[in-house]
Amino acid sequence: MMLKSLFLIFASLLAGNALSDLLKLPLPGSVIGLVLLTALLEFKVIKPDDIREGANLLINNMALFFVPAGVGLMLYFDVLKTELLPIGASCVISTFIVIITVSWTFKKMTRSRK
Amino acid sequence: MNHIIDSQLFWVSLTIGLFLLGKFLSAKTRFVLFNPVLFSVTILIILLKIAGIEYSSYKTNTDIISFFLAPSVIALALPLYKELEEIKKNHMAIFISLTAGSLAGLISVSGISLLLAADTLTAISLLPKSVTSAIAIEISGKIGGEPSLTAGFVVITGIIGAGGGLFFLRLINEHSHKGGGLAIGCAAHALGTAAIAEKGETYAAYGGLALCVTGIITSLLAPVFAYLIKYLF
Repeated sequence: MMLKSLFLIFASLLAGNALSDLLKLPLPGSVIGLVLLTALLEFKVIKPDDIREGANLLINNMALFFVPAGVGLMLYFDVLKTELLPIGASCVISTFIVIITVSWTFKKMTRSRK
Repeated sequence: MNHIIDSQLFWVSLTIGLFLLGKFLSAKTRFVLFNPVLFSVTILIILLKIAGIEYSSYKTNTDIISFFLAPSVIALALPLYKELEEIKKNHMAIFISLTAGSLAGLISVSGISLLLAADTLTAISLLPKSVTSAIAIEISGKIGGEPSLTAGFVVITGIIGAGGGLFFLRLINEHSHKGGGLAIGCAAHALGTAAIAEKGETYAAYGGLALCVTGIITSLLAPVFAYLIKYLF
C-alpha cells in the first residue's frame, strides 16, 4: 500500500530527526533514520512489503529531488569564478581518486579472503 | 500571466519536465553531459538568470520537490536490508575500503586545492565535499569552514559523480555492483547513488551503505585535516 509505505518512511525520518536532536548527535536525521528503518526490517518489526511501493517510488526518482539544491549553485558563481581552477580540479580529481581507492581496496580485500 | 509563472505548479512542472527531457536525451545519445541532473540544473540556472528571478523564489516554489530528498535516503533501507547478509560477511572489507576512500578524498581535495592556491577557507570548506549535504553542512560549520560554500561543493561533487561515475567505473574495469556502489556512494554521496540506483538494486544498497558510513568516518577525520590546514597555511 503506497500510503502506508510512505507513512513508515516519513515516520522513520521523523524519529531519526528527533533522535539526532535530542541526543545532540553529530549525524543528520536521514542517516539515523536509514539505520533505524534497516534495523526495523532486520528485526522483522516491519516487512519489506510494507515499505516496498513508497521506497521504490522514492529511490527511482532520487536524482530529481536534488535538482532544486543543484540550482542553488547559482548563488556561488562569484566564488566559483575567482577560484574556478582549484575548486574544479580538486573536486574532479579527488572524486575519481576516491572511486579508484574504494573500488581497488574492496576488490583486493574480498579476493584475498577467498 | 505573472501569477501563472510565479507559482509552485509552474516551477515544479518545469523542473520535472526538464529532468525528463534530460533523461530522454541521455538515453537517446548516451552523452555524459545530458545527465538529467546536470542538464536540468544548467537549463534552470540559465532560465532564472535570463528572467532575472532570484534563487530564493525558485527555491520556495520547488520546496515540495526537495522535501522528498531526505525520505529517499531513508528508502535506501529496502535495498540495504536485502543485501544485509552479504554485507555482514564482508563488513571488514567494506569498512576498510570506505575509510581508505574517505582518507584519499580528504588528502587529495586539500592537497590539490592548496597546491592550486585556493584560499584556506575554501580548502577547509572543500573537505566534506563527498559527504551527503546534511552531514557536510554540519561538519563544515564545526571545522571552521563556510557551510553555504560547502553546500555548493557537495552539489558539484555529486554532479561529477552522477555524470561521470559510471563512465569512470567502466574505465577502471570495475564491473561489480558492490564495489562500484561503494565507490560512488563514498565519492559522491546520495546524488551519485541516485544516478546508479537506476541501474540496479545492488548498486542502490551499497551506495546507500557507503554514503552512511562515509558520512560518519568523514565527520571524525575532517577536523584533523582542518586543523592541519589552519596551522600549516
